[in-house]
Amino acid sequence: MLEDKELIRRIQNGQTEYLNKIAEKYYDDIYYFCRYQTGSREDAYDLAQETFLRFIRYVDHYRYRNLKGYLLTIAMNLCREYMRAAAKTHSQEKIPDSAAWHGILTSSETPHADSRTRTSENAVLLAEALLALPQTQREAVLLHHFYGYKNREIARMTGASYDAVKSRIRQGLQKLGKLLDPDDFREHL
Amino acid sequence: MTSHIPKDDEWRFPLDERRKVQSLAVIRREALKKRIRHYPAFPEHIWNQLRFRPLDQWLTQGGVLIAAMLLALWLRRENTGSLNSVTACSVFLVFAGNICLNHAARLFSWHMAELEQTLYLNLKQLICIRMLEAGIADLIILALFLGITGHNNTMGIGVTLLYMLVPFLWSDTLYLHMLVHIRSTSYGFRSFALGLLCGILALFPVLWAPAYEPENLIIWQILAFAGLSVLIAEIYSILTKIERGDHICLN
Repeated sequence: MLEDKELIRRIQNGQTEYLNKIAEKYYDDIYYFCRYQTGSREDAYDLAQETFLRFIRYVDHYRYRNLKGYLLTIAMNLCREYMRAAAKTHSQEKIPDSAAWHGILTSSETPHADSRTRTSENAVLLAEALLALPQTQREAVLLHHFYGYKNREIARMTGASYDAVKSRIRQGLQKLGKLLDPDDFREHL
Repeated sequence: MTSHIPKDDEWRFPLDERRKVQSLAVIRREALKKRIRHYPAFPEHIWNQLRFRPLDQWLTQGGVLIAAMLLALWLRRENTGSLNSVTACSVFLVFAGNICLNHAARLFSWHMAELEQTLYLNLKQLICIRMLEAGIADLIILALFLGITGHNNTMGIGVTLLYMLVPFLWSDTLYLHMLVHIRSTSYGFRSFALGLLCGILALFPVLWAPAYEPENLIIWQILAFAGLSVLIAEIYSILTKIERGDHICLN
């Protein structure tokens, strides 16, 4: 598989078909981020799609550094807009809840194998706990704990200071640790 | 405490493949429609600026550098006192600064914004590059003065720099402000007149005898700090105006 830098070089030289390669490569990562961030199944697909459409719009200007980080930053901004709009319109159906998460996994996403079921149940528990965190803490925890970004990288992506990111991660992980009951959670592992 | 929080792939779950395929199809359609435009990066802008720089600008700047060197050598040969050297150099530096800055002012022209939009230029970067060029030329002149006339300087390098830079700073700031805001007269005449006016400002310390007395050093320090602040504010204001597209470069 081609390196991201090479993909960007080819795209900026006019070979736009490589935009599809980027979308295929990072679609799942972006989807998971939007899903955990918003809690909404359908809207997360729309947000992931919009992330790549925005990337396509601005790819001419893009200077390669960290492509996945750049896509996650776009997704994060879209999720923020989504949450703001949801809060403004007081649209309850847009506000994520655990029922939505349970409901999701009963349709086409329902896995058949036991191991996949366990993973999905873990995902539901995790999503419920994540949604109980404030938005900025959730962003920081997702990027740090699940996507493996360093504090400094998250500070650059979120526009927050290094200290603020550090404290968001620490507080977020502490809360998440309390919310996820180790016994309940281990049953599924 | 946090050891039971899932890591690795435990937090991933299977996606709705049908929905994913639909999404990717929309992205594919958009990618097909995409036409890539080339936007030069900052180093490319610098190279282009140097490549397409008119000959008269190279000659003017070269002439100013040669004149600076001749003046410095003459001051050295004549063995003029520290004060006289500093005064002569500061006046020269002001005029040289205004001549160099003059090239940046050419970008503040009518229709420049339309040109920027048509050719995908980044006007902000272009102005920064021109100001950077002017700044480098000024630094070379300053280094020439300090290097060549410095042997008989009794005032110390800090004080000398202060005496040279304060008139330069204020004159440059005023000149920049006028170039941007007074735009009614013809280009060449305007630049010459404004450059002359601002250069004359540098002569004020010469006309006021106690200006270079050690007890007035604090006034120079305050003026240097204030001048630097006003210059930063002026540059910030220009760049903000370029960003918003009002006043400057727009019909």
